[in-house]
Amino acid sequence: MATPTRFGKPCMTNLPKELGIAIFKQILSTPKPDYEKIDAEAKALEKKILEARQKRNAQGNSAR
Amino acid sequence: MVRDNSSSELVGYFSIKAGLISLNEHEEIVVDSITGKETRKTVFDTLPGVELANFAVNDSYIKKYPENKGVGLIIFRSFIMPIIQEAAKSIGIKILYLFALPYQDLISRYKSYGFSRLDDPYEDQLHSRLKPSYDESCKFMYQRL
Repeated sequence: MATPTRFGKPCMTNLPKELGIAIFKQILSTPKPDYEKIDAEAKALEKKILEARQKRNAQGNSAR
Repeated sequence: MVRDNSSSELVGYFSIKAGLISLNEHEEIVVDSITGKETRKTVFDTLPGVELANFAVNDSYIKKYPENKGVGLIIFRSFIMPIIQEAAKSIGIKILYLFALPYQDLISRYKSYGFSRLDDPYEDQLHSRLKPSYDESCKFMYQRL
């Protein structure tokens, strides 16, 4: 019988000193995300979805 | 839960919780900024954050309205981030993090939302700390706030 895959979350507390410091350094030296770019993508997607909805609603109304 | 405002159908859901990354207690030499005196102290370093504990988009909704594919990004930027940014004003959170299932398409999507992964050696060490090797490890991903 196949064994189901189990997924575990790594524990991020009580990190050993050297590993913890290295992880802290990596996180704190990572640049913040480009929120403007991500927001622009989200807005463009939202616009596309709303336009598709309006089109669908208009088709629904004209079919009545 | 996020619902479609015209049909009330479930679009997706998420949950967030306060969390942190912390180091074991360890001793460090601390220098008094006024007197310059050095003392050995036990310190406990933490990096406070918020965990995006659950985040999912309703498959059935996307199957019914395929033009809404990608709506997860809108949920993330328009619903999740404003809550976190508001919380960041009053509590000292520095990062947003999550544990992604180890599927490449999911990890790529979170990368497009601005999340990063740790370097491979750190990911491997994190997994080997507490988990048996036959378990698959979720991937720690983070972004600075």
